[in-house]
Amino acid sequence: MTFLRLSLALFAAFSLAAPSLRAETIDELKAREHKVQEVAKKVMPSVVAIMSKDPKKPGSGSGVIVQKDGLILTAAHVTAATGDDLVIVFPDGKRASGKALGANRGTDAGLAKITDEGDWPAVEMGSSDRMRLGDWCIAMGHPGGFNYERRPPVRAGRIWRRDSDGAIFSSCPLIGGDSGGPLFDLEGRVIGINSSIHGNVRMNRHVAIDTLRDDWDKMMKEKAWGIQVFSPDSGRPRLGAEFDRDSQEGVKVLEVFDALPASKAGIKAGDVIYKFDGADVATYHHMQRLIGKKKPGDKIKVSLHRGKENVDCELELAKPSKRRESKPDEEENEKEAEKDKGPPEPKIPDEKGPFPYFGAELEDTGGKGARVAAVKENSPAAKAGLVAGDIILRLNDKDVDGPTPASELIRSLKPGDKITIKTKRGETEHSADATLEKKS
Amino acid sequence: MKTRTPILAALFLAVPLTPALLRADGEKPADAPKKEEAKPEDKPKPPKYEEQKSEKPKAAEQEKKEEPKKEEKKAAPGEKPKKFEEQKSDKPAAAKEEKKEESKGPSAEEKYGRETAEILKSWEPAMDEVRRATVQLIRDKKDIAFGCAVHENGYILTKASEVEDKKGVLLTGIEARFPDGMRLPVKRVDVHRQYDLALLRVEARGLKTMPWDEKTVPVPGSFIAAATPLRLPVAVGVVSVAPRNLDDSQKGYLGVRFDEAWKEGVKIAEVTAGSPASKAGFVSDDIIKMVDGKPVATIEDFKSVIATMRPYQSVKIVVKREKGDRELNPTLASRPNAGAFGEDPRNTMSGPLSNNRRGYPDALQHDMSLEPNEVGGPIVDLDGHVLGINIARSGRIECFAIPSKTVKGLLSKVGEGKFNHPELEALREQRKNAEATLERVKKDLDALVKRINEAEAPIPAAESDGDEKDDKK
Repeated sequence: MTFLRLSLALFAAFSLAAPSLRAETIDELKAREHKVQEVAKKVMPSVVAIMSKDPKKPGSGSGVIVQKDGLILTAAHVTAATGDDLVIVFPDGKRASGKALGANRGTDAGLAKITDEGDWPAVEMGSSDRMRLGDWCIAMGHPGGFNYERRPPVRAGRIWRRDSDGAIFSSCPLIGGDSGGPLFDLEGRVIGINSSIHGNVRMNRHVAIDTLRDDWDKMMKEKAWGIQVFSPDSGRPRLGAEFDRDSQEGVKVLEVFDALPASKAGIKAGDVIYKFDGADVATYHHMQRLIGKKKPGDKIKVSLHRGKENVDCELELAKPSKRRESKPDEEENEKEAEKDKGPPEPKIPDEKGPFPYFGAELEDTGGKGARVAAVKENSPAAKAGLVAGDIILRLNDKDVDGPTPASELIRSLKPGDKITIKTKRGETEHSADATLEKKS
Repeated sequence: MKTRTPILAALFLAVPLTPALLRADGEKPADAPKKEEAKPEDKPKPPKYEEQKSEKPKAAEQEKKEEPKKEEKKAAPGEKPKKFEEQKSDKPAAAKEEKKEESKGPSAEEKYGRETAEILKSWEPAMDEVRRATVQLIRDKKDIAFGCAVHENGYILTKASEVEDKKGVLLTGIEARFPDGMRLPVKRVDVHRQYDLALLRVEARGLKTMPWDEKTVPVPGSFIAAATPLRLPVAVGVVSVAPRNLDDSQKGYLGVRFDEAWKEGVKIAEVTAGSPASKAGFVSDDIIKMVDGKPVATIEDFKSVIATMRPYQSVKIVVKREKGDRELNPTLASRPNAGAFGEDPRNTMSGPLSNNRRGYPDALQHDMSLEPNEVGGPIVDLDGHVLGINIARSGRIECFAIPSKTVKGLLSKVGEGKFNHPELEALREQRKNAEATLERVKKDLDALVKRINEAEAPIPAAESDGDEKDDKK
């Protein structure tokens, strides 16, 4: 398989400087800027928009060409929305026909292919296993759908989180339409595929390229499978050791926990694992993917360097602990995951939330109070007799100082709460009660 | 379309391309239902904004220091404004860095963020000159925008809608805080609505002015920072898209939707009712071959040509039909501006956007995550070159900045306290076309009126009544 050979060759060529945690010089920044500019220029022709041939399916996503024959990496939920027959649009507006190949809806990785004959502009695939927290990356795509008035916008950021389901999170901001678009390393190699976003502008999820590679053969042969569930905790079997997650030349063992598989097999802190279950491993993330395919109780052959010695051993994987060995960045991931489950509602306009509904649009009066600009029919505001033009002076006996404090006050209440409104209409003042409703 | 997964509340990125987004010239239909405009002030403020409040004590301190100075000014109203002297601020660093030190150990998100203390600090040398021409606009102890000093006699350029109420009246009590901490009240002397720029004035002389750089061509991927009067930038990012025209109203509009799957040229899938295309007789399946004598090969070729033409301009288009080629002569209309319609609601979920955020005739797109009250200041490259002025936070992924060259064009009369209006030339040309169209329509109208009058004219008495009735049917 060509892509595997390619990736092995890349492994050998890799050499990355440690992510910087100190202030850099302008020259260092310029060196990085130069790389970003070069990558943006080089990869631009390969970043395509993906649409359905069927005008009744008006979704649009992105993709990136990785083989000259027109093979495209994209997101599973893009081809799920477009159907099998695709229109591939290049940044310069040229079009080609394409078809959807297989996709893993669980990881959100997908493939597509240009069906027209041609020598298509392809980019290289890199290694997400090699990427470390803090490494810089570049995201591209066709946000908002294909737009002939601009090229795919370039966004740069850093990788700051990795989940065990094969997701990378970067601070490259994404929006609708970017889905399926590529995340590049500073050499212009694809290391991830844009997948989804959260309220926090730094929460941009990408499918790790090596996770996509795991499903390569299946995707080439089959249609889409799995269901859309992103879980940062996939409950992998346990080794009982802590590793250097930035390992590049074999996985370095930092700490071994008593009475767990690693210590039972005689693995010691300082050992460097270079072979795992028959596969050469250079990085922690690669080894993690291998463990992810195993079950507790499976016996694994491991080869490691201990000083100048080479040691072979066998270990039996344990059940995942309920609370895994919590390490700082995993704890954070968990915290973040909990946050995700919490209500991000206030920031999502189309969200149904437990917010009180009043039903009046308020505007600035230029002075005191808030002017009612419009009242929704049958809303609590309408029931309380408010009409456009009324000026709200007080809410629950608090002076209203503009539309924002008024909305904030209303927002602080619950559906079902009563609110006393003092208004001015012309020269006369009125007082009325409204009962807040549930926003629907 | 699913917008959320049940578990992680992850929002997928596949945008439903509504027919509006697919419409031929890229424009939205004029009769599109208007979505309510997102109101940032009704939304909870993001953490970044809250953090800024913690800067208050610092601002208050500066305020105290400045108090005597202000009184001095008031005491001598008739006197000429004092020469503004640049002082070197020896304050350790900008707020962000201090905040960092206060917090208990950074999370991965902060440690590996795009705007860590270390990264902002790396930019310090590039800020050195430009920050001296940058001001912080404040009102009621709150930061409301940045501004650029653009003339030594006290003129300051900023984003108009951030210093005005919704009716365009200047907010009261705005002050400009200079890099040395000096605070002066501002007056407004002019506004450029199209670019949403305001020209303010403070009573000061000898201001250091913004060194707009017209020569540097920003390319996608160029590193940029949003300068402040302090030593460190408020945000950093990269140029996402080279400068382009965002003013759809100045772009020609034909009103057709193309067959996206058709690869052998430009095939019309649908003609918008009432559009210039339908009036000129375009029909579905027409294949567009030539525009004003030039062949067009792709949909984008065609769209680009039409977009650079002006509304009311007449254009010759040759289409291929089964029965042979035909020349049609539509008169283009003005492309409806997108407005809030079609905007992805996910744009506002990561924090508020600027109220005024579209339609600038020349704007560079970048990927900083600015708060609405962080625009109005300069963007600077790693050499300290000023590439433009930040004009809007327009989406989750995008901010717009007006390039320096355009800013300089708008400011060619700044010494007189007003904006230059280079865009008027284009508008006048558009008016000329509109007048010509009106003239044609008037002629048509006259002819119609004449025909109607003729038809309804009383018939000479000699004719019979019966004939008249038949004619009317």
